Amino acid sequence: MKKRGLKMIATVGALLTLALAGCGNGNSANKEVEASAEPKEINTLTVYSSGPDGLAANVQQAFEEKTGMKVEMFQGTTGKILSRLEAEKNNPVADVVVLASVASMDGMKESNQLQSFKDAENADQINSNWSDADGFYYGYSASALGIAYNTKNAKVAPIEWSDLSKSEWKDKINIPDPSLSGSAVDFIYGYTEAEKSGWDIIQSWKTNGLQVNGANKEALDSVITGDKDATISGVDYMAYKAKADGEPVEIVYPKSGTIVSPRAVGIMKDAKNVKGAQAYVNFLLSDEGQKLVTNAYLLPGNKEIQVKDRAALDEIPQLSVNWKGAETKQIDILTKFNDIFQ
Amino acid sequence: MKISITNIEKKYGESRALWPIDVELDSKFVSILGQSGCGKTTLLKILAGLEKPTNGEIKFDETVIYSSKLRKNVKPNKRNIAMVFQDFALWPHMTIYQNIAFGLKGMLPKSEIPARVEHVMRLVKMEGFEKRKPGELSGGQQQRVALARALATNPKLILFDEPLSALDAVLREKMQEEIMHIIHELDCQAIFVTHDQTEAITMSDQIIVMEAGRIAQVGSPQEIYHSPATPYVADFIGKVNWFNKGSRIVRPEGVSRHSQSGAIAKQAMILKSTFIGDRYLVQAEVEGKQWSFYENVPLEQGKQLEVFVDEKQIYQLEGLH
Amino acid sequence: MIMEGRRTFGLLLAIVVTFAIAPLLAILYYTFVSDGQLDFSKISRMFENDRMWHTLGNSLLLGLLVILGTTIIALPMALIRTKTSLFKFDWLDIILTIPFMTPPYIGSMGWILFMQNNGFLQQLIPGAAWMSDYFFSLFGMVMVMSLHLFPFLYLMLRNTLLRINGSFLDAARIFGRNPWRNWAKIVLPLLVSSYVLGVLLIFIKTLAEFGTPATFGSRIGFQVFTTEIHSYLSRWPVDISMATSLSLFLLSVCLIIWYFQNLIGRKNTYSVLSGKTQAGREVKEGWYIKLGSWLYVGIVLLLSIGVPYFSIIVTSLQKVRGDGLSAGNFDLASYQAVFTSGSAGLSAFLNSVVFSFITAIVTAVIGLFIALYIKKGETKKQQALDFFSLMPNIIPGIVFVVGLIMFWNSPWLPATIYNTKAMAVVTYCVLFLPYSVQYIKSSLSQLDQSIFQSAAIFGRNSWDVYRCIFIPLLMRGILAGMMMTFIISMRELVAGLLILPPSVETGATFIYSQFEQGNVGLGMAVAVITVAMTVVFMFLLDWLQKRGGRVGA
Repeated sequence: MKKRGLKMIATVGALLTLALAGCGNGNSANKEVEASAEPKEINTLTVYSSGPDGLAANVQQAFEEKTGMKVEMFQGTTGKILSRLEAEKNNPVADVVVLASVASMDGMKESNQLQSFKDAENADQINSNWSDADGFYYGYSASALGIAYNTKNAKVAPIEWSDLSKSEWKDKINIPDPSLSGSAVDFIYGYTEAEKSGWDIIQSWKTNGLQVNGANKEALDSVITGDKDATISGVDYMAYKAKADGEPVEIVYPKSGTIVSPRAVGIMKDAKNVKGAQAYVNFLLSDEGQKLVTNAYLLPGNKEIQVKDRAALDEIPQLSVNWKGAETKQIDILTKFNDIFQ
Repeated sequence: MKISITNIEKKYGESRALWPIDVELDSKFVSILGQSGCGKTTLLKILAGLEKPTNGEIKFDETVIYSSKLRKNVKPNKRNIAMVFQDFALWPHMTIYQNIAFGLKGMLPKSEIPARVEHVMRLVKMEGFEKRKPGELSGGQQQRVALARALATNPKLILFDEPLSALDAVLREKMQEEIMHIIHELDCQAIFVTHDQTEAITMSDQIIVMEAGRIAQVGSPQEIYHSPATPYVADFIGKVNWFNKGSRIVRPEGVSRHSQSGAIAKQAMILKSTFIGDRYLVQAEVEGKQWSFYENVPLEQGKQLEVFVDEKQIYQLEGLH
Repeated sequence: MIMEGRRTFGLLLAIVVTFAIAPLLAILYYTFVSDGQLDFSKISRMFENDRMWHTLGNSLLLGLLVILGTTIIALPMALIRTKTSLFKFDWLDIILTIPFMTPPYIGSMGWILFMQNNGFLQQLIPGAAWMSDYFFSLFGMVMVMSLHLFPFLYLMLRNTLLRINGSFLDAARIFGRNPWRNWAKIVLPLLVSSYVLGVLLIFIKTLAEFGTPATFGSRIGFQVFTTEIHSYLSRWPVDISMATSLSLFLLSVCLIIWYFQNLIGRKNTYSVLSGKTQAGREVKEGWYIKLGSWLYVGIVLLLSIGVPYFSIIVTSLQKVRGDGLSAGNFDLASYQAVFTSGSAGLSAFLNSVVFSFITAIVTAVIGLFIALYIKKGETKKQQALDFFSLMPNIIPGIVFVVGLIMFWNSPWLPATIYNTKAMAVVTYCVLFLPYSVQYIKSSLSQLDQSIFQSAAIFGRNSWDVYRCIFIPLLMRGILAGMMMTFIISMRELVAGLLILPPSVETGATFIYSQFEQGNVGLGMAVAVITVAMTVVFMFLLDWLQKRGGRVGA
């Protein structure tokens, strides 16, 4: 019995070796090649999507049910998705890309990586400030950035950005790493563009012990577990979600104004399944898609859709920011930020 | 030097390596003979001080080396002994010179060390190898160096732990002779652990035969051969022919085809004749037992004949059966 | 004889070259060639970058400190396990390898959760708050990494001490004048050579380590090569040529260290490794030595296993993480979520199992053929193949991963496995081939030469010879290698982060991404399941070796 099992394993192994070796020589058609060719068949759609985890999965499920199409989903932070696109330039696979930063999306449009989809259904309902006029991308949702704080540990609730330079917040504050978090770049960019004293305040946070803490969730996690008391540029939907789970977290939007960071969807220029990609965009912009967005505590792109258990867009004091052409400026800002913090 | 071992025993937890042992050794060359696992190496290590006995006393002449009662335990390096190990145990990172000189530091003035090393290297015929490292020597050469290291400190007693078992037959015989020669030249004693009975018989003045943690017999090689104390010893040393009663033996030399006065005749059936160089070893069936004796010509297999046992050479094992 | 033909060599070499060497060439190509022209601007750009020198300094400093840290932990441990009555407890060795088998990013997350402000330590002992500040520093990082890597050094030192403990030490006790001199002249020099080899490997492993720098290091702002390479590849703005240049540089550093290690190894490895170990041994010691030894072992186990696993398990059981250790805040919801069919955690975990299993089989087969070809490495060809197949051990995983990405994305390839699951398996195979080669080689070296000869004479054909003689005889080594490969593949992180196709996650990337954006409790539950399985495998491995040892003896 045992011997036969071992023989089987050995045989299977030998076959696999041959398969892999053949692949290396590149002269035999084999399984792997077929696998990579699969996306060509119209029934699958490859989506590179940045968070939130639950939303992407729900959209995927609903979309698959509705269209019968199979979605291959790669999830990651905005930075990861951009780098992946760069690495596989020679052999692109993504059809649809969903980013947590409109600036990056605009950058992709500028570098000719996207294709226009002007006739998207519901396009006229979607917030035009967040979307491209030529239909290269649509801001289907947004998160507002605020101060997320631990209600158990913070003695007083923060009100203004400048509060966090005060001594009671010393060594108790953090911010997501802008090179990992698209929304954090948006925040630094928007805040320093709109506020003249922006960099001074950032500097004063640094003096007050501001820690740069990984991606959005990691930063918020250290507030949840009590390591820090407050996260600057905390992504509101994550805070609302944690609050709904019973965690001692609250989020405030300073009166002086904050950044609303739109999340956008676009179709890759090299998309193999253009029809499917368009269907995916349509779905995200549809009322059904927008409902899923609000279920994830995000702001919907379509103002007509009711928000759920959170502040609506017009209740949030906003700084005015122009996202068009922001990407190159954002790189400078990132460098400046890194210079301060490293 | 008289080595007195009194009531020495050794237990590892519940298992016994040595039953209480009492023996006095005063010969120049003593062998401890036994099969592997009989406790011979344990006894040697106890003498060396590498193992601590559970109980008992050891004296070198009148000096107490170990005593469980007096709580005395002289350290190995203070017993004025040396040891040659089965695996040679030459320190691989040192040169031959350093290996030998290691034990001399603090014992001889620094200036005399080179001469001493040279002297012992000459004794073992290894002059000129001082700068090599052990890894560059053959097994036989390493053995010589190990011997030189043991001789260097001028010990009263050298302990050999199956030192020749790693060598091939020709080399082994040569080394046996040399070791005997050197020991007899020098003013020291040797205790030699081996499982090879020929080695023990040819080399030593006194043999301790051990069996399962006990001493089976102590005596000269002749005593052990001709008057074995137990059936085990009789079987272990040389060839032996048993009589039916089970306590009387005769060695092959006591059996021949030629009738003598006072010889007992026995009916034998020849099983096999084997040429062993100077004569034939004949195996035959006698009274249902397998016997052996020597003959100048081969005997035909299956032949029935009479053999004669020299009564003087029959030995009755004492106090048994 | 079999396995010596030119064709075999060609085939094996082709496999190794395609999978192990081509990626490195791809890095070279990408760094030095642009538009078909030699171009040194990319590499000089790296050298002009202050940040690179800073990173180099960090990496080297970390390596040295981790050497110090592992020595402080491993050396006393090795002495305790060979010189005191604790030598009897062989099960300690299995327990002591658990830290090494724990995925480093999980271990350091455990430490972070334990030590951070309002973390578990402060909840248990509120007065210990001052420790947190000291902990979140280079000191803490070195401690966490040392606690992860020390088993490696410990096992090397223990084995050497065991060998010295036999007749080498007996001889010293007889001929030596005093114990200190024996220690200094005999034990120490014999120990030093294996120590130096051990710490150089620790150094390379530290340089190659990604998990701890990515979690703990990024928190205290301590960047090293691996995290820099990873961030140039996965952070915005992406800079691939910088990543390849850095990879090349890291590769060179490791090769230089490896060269020195070889040099030292050749000089100081003694062919005379007699030193029989004693069968029965008893140790008499004062109660204070015994107590001290147990205390030391206890502290090391507490720090290397107790603390991280406490945090991991508690986190996986917490309902509301903000409520900390309060009673009633625990349930099995995370585990339920993982074991719900079709859950992302479960499918990630199963992906890991499948990838690791295939990797274990493929490397076992390739490893078997390579080991049979290399044998004792007498000819140039055999040595070359030996070197190439063991290379992934010297070269940090991330360098290979970068190379594999570059290679499989080359425009001239007619077909590619990039963005398929096969890419994950190929990467794992390249990274972990050395384990199976080493295990099979060592079980091969225990076979007598006469077995090859008799096989050559009596075997009807070479397939029969393999099927009936070599594979059964080497099965123990093959299985041990497979087991080890499986364990290591299960925890591989950086490869997964960079090469997995869409919709596919492994246990490791799942856990990691839960920290980044998901549910930490869920991630920790998957971590606990993974580690539990690893430990079961380790005991199986140990049992297999012991049983095999008895049969072989």
